[in-house]
Amino acid sequence: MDTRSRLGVCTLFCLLPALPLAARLAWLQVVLHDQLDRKAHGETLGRDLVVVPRGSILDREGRALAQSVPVTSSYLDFTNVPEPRSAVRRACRILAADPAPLLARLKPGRRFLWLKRKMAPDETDRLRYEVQRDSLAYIGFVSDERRTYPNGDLLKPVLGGVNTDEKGLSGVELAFDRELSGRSYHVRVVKDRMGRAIVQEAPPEQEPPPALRLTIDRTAQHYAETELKAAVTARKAKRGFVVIQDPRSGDILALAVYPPDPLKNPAVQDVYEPGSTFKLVAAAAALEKGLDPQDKVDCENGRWAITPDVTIKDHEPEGLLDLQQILERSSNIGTAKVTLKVGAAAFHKTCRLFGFGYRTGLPLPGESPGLLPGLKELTPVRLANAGFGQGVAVTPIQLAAAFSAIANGGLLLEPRIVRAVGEREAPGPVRVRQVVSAETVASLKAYLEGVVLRGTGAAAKVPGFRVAGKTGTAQKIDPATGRYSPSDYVSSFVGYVPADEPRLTIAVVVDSPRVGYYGSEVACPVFARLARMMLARLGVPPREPLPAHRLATGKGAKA
Amino acid sequence: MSKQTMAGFAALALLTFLFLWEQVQATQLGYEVGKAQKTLRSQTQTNAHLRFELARLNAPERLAKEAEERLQMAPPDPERQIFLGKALSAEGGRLDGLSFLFRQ
Repeated sequence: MDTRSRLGVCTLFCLLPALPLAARLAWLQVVLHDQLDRKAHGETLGRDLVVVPRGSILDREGRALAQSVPVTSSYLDFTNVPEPRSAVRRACRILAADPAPLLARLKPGRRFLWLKRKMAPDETDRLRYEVQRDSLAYIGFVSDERRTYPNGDLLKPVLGGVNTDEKGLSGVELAFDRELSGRSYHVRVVKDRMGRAIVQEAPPEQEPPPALRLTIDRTAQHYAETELKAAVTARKAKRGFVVIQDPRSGDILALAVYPPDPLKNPAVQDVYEPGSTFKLVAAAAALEKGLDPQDKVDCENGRWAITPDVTIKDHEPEGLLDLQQILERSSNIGTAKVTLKVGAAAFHKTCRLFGFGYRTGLPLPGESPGLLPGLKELTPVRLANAGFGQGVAVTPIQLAAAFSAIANGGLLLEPRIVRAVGEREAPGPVRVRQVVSAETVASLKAYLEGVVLRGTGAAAKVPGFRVAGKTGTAQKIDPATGRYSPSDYVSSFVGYVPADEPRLTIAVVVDSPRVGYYGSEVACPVFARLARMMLARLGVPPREPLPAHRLATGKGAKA
Repeated sequence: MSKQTMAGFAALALLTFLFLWEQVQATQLGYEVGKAQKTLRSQTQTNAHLRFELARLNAPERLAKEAEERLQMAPPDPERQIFLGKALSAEGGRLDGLSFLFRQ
């Protein structure tokens, strides 16, 4: 073997060990390239969650009723943690929280546990500090949001609520969940070994969720809730409702329920028998039918056996009354006889025209259409009873809308609770239909004013203003006997003010009062106080001079 | 070594330096952007909390309570309200330019 060959063999022996290395290199660089590239990126590339908060809910003047604030949630990651239980205890000690609930959820093999959702800012700072100081790698943080209601329980049944994941559960939060929900997203981030971001992907172009502006006036709502709470408490009642509506636009200015329940809105979802407030419909039907309102009706001295088994009673014995007096004195017998004269078909049609038996179209979950018997079900007894509001059931919203129609010259408007979604304004007043003629409206307005001036609604008077409305004292069905209870009532008053140029329709309903029960004594004073406060708020001047009223007309004027 | 080779090495060294300088700058700016974004998130969070606090402090129930308990205020009786305006005729005419005053 010559020298050249020997050198070749030596070189081959020297290079031979490098062959497996070259093969390995080719394997890693060529065959496993993509896989290893992904792995390397996985260690430097992260995904950060960017939370887009849920849209706010505002009142008609743009004041916050519900808003979301960004917060932080913390979690425990037990990957590479040999003693998860002691890690839980340590984390809970920092938050001064009881570890028992977390330990109960800690099952073998479980890698993830929420430590605390939606932490307060100071709590977050404290936890972050401890995590950094002691390098507690098993505690992680994630952006989150918390729904807040700065006015406490104000308007709670209307606003509703959200769950832990900020999804609407009830009320406006549920009805407008799609519009209000923020679409949170992830952005890719290149991080260094300390977890600090070096390069972050540009966030996608998207608009934040719009704010929802309601027709509710926060101050009016406060008035309504305060007065309602006082009335329900003082009368030891089961519950109560107040609706304040602007009859010119259909805007709901306040919708109060006491006691409040964030998961249910009985002012919209529950029905009650309206009692004498429904006599408005019977009177409207009579006038539309062309009956002479001057005709006297014998009110039978307070007791009238419509059949041998069914007797209708009045709260006061009455003799011969015309239609106006029937309304002013709230005679059940007079109304029953008038309704029978009107007939089932005409009465039923008028009820329908006023919107009873239909949903009003309020965009709130679970609105009830009320209970209106079918035309065929209106036997003489049921027809007579329906005339004074027994055997029919309505929502407070429906009744307020019906009185607003009278205040509005007979034009029924759709009640409105949402004014705008973001920049998109809701359409103006939505006309449903002309319910009754102008002549009928003029007569009804006079009757309703008479109720307050001379009749059962005297306690609803507002000094300086003309008031129109109707009282209601409806017996409730006793579930035990299935008959009307002699001791359980729904007291109500629905009216509008000023009667000559209506600005407000107010419905007050107090369910099962134990101290007094007539609508005139329970609901009328609430109406009067609310009307007084609301007129002052709206800057509506008195139409009539007050005896004790003082006027200043300029410099030096004496009060 | 020829002058051409030396110039080539120098150019290569310069390019390498520029490349490394650009990488360092990009990383530094990345850190600054990350820091600024963190500050933005923190400030946005603080802003939202302050807005909530403002709304809470302006809640009508709280204001009414404060007015009654701390300032001994009460809603005025209608009889104690004075309406300012051009005229209110004896027949009950309407007021223009209404405002309210409460008698003390």
